Amino acid sequence: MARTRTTALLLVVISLGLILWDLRASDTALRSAAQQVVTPLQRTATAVFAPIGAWASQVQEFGDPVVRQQSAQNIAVTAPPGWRTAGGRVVAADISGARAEVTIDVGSSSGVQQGNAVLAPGGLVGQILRVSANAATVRLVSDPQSTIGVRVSPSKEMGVVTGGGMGADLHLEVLNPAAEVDAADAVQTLGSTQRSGIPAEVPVGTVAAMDTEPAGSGRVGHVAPVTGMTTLDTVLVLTERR
Amino acid sequence: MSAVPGRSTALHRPRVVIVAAAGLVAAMLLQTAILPAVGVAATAPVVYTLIAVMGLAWGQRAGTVAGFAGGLLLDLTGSGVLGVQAMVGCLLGLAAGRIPVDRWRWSGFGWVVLAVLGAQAVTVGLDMVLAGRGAGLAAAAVLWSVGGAVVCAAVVLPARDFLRSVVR
Repeated sequence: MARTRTTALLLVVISLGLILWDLRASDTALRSAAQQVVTPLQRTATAVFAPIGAWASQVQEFGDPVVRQQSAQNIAVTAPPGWRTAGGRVVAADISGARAEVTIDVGSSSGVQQGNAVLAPGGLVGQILRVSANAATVRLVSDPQSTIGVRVSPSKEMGVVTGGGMGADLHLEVLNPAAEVDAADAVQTLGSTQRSGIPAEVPVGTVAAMDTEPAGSGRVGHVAPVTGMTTLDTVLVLTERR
Repeated sequence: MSAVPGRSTALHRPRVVIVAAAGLVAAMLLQTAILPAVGVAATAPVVYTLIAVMGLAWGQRAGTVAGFAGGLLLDLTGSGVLGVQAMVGCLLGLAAGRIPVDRWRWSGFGWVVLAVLGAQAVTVGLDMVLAGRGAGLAAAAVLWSVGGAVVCAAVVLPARDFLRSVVR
């Protein structure tokens, strides 16, 4: 009994030490090493079981002609011209309520860098958060910590899109309180001219609804992302401008 | 601990290590790769449930160590603050070792579900506090967690007798 208590206490102290260490230093070497070992296992598991998931979603969406047409159109992920890219697959996911992150099977050995834009058929789905040699973690646009500068067309108003958590619509804040933004408007990235950031005018989604009352300093609304975040499969990372 | 018959401390230690390692890695793969691949839309607490059942089968001490190992595995391969799930896992294993059970195959079911849900809630809470993820939980995510915990407990709990016999 006493030994049990000592063991538990020791392990809790070690955990607390790890927590403090991670909060202070946020060293990624340990995690990279673990990912090196685990990602191949996850990749194999995903490759084996993905056909079942694809079959299940086909069964689910079989009767919906819009979905069928979309999936026929969007087989290839299209990249903006002038970018080096790395194609990868989602091999693991952490999509609990407070988080929306996935692991993909390409990393720094394919040129992937922190901050790179990640595209799926239709547009932007996330940004690279952490990189190891052969794997990378993507923070999806639906993660509550994700913020992306956007422009809403056709009014050209600027705004910010933040994640709303798993399965929820994205949250849009338009800067101008008098902005004429409506449902079905297109939402695209503001982008930057950095060598490896998010480029301009990549689709993020379409406005689903705007709240009618102006909020404190602008207008708020909801954006439907370009694709379902829980059914991501093949993605394209924009690694660097040519 | 001695109050429960058949839960003596005479475990075959190398076998515990092998079985725990294999089981936890398999559960981690199921939770992080296989379930998302087949389209299960939220995190089902597979690893936590296995930790709880290991604590039930092997007692507090082995449960604590297995819980720490399983939690650390999730921490290292996941994206939260390192050490959170290790701490929650080791406390979960410790608590599960105290759950009273009898011979019935699903005995202790309610307690296991409660313990796993508690662990899940503490993990999400700590993650919010430490990493500043302020957004509230979507109702769908809570439903998925509860349903996931119930299903996992129903599937994993019958493995208790196997886990107990395999390490003697």
